Amino acid sequence: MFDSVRPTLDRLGGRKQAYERLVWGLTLVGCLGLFAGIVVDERLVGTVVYLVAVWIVMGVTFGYPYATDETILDERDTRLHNRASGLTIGIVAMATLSTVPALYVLDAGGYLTIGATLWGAIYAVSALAFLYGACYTIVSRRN
Amino acid sequence: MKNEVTERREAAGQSQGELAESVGVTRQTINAIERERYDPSLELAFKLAEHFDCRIEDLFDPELDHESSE
Repeated sequence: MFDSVRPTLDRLGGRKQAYERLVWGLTLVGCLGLFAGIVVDERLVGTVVYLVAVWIVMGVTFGYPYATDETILDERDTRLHNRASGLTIGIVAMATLSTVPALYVLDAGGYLTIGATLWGAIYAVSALAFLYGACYTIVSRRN
Repeated sequence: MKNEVTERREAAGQSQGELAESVGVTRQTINAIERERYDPSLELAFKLAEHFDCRIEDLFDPELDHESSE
């Protein structure tokens, strides 16, 4: 299957740059499609454009390495990804730990009211923390 | 980490892309190593040393404080 798309990928400059152009270009198309759908009140069409683009991105992400003999992602990409992920979790943790407990106490004391949106955000961050903990446990047991 | 990858690659008449292909990484990674912005894994360091037919310590200089250990 991938043999048929290889010439196209090579024409795009081949290799890592073509891969990155495809992924980011399709992501941009998906986001613009979704946004355009909202603006012109064609939300279903916008959603379909977004989903199709994202699915293609996922297909390209996992399929491209098999479509070319050349190395697309290597240890440096993995290290950059790991550092960015760690930094993201660190920022979220610092922001959460420095605000949420205080907000919770102030809410319980009647000094302020945590709205539904903020509760949603707190639950989402909590879920992220649990997911991180689970992933960390799995990874640490394998290494 | 200081290294002699650029010198040895140019002496071998190779481009960054050709070296990258030889050791199974991207050209960007070779570029980052040569600019001392990325320290390769031990596995990649061994591959590079094998490619240039030298020892790792001939290729990379971790700038350890040798005097402190003496």
